[in-house]
Amino acid sequence: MRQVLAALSLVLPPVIPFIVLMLSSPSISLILIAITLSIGLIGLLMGNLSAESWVALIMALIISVMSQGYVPYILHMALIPSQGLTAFDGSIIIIEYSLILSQLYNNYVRYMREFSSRGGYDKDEVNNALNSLIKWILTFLTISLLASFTTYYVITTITVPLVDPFTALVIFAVTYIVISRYLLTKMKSQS
Amino acid sequence: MREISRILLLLVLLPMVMAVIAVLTTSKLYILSILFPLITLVIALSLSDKPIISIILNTDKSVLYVDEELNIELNVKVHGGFGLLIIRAPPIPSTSMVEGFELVRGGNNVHVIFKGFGDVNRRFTYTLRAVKRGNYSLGGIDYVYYNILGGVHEPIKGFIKLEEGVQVIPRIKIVRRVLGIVKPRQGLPRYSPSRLGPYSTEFRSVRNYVPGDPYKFINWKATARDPNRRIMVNEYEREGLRTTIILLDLGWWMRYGTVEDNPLEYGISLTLSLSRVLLRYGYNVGLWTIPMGPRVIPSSGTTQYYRLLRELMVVKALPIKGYTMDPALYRLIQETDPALIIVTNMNTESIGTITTLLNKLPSRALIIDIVPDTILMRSLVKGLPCNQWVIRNRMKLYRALPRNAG
Repeated sequence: MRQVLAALSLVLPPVIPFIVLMLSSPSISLILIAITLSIGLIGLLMGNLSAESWVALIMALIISVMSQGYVPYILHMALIPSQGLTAFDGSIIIIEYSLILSQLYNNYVRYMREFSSRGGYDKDEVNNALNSLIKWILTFLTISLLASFTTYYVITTITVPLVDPFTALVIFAVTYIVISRYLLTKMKSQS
Repeated sequence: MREISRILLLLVLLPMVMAVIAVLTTSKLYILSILFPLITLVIALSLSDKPIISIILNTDKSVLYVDEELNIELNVKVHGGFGLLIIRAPPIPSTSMVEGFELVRGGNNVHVIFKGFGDVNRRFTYTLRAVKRGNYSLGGIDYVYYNILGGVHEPIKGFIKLEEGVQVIPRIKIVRRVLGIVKPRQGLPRYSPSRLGPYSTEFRSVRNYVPGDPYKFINWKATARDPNRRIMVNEYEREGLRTTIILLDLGWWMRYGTVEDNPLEYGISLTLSLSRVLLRYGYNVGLWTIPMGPRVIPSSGTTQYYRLLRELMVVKALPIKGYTMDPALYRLIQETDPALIIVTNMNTESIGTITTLLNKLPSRALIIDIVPDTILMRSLVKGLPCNQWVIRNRMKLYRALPRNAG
């Protein structure tokens, strides 16, 4: 399962978003794929796979912000033509997915290092336990991914005409702050 | 394990950042990027219950001999929670039990268990072999629980203290019986040359009182008659035969070999074997450790054997050079004229201490020299046809001993 985690964390960040971007700007896409992949390989050798996902996420967000919305409107110039950017925005979720996977891969490596340094463990038992852990994490993340798509589909198809986007944003912000405060209180009380 | 809480932080911060980007780009597809970490966070929090962990450890015996096996059963029950549980059962590193036991069968004393949706009910068994005498405490069971995605709490670390202990008794196998040498020839009642052991009713003499004499033996009539007004006591013959005092060397040279196979361990086994056979024939047996350490005043009976055993269970070799004669031992030797047996490992380092001791002794002593050469060479040379090949000639050392050594 370690190999699966490593492969997914390594391949997902550059491939999906930048292949989508290649339709509108192939040269920039190729450069970005090369940069992220090389960072990924260095990270793999140094035991820090999350660096690639972070770089990919930051670059994707910069491209997205500089190519559509308020920033190009103010600056009167876009980094990349807006064709194909819709799919690019949607594919950022894949970078998030790989970012969480890479963090889990780091955890996996840390667990293995801890077990091997302490010693006394049965290798098969450790592998079975860690494989089960990774399987469940992948399952939960995939469920989460599918649930996100389903919710998005529901949100976009069943529109509520009475709520304008700004009100929706305010409702989201208030709900988010209330939930965050509740979680932070819970974390403090239990730690 | 801060990495795990970093994931939680990431899941909390990502939707916020994505919401800002969504506003800046006016792209509704960013809703996906907001929803995904939020849903993952909800899943992580729903699985972050603290588990109820119950670990029970059973051993099949509490007293065993060296080389015997100790079977340990570990029952683990986990209810609630979702993550990894790491258990370390005895022997836990940095405890004395690690030195005294080795794992021989049944896998491991360390286990990693994945706790999924169902309750965990696991049973582990393993077998330890006792390799060194001693009183060992089981210590406890160490465990750490890591939640699957970190949850809302830190890793749960726990330690279940175990009150039970295991006593490992040295094997007694060298002297099983002594034929015709120590067995008393006299029938009962017999004359006892010993001045130790329980008092009999046979009157011996009247003498001056010395501190330690029982008050019930004060002869009041003789005390009243004494012109110097000294307290006089009746002296009675004591039961038992002669006294034997074993002097066990605890010098650093008694450690030559391995932790479980060295002159000290053989010396302890020999001392116990010899004591048992002498006590069986009614002798008074005492023990002194040199240069310093526990001592057992000579006495007879089965209880004395257990006194010796209790003291010998905890003795260790010490890096102390030189020897100062214990006045109590000197007085005892003068009073009872015991048979003295010195158990040591003679080499150039120990000869000085042994000579000092022998020079101070007012009587003859028998030296039993435990030669560690075979222990040392056994690990280096496999399949030795003859042990004599690796034992160095010690005649030079023996010649250096004083004349009262036997």
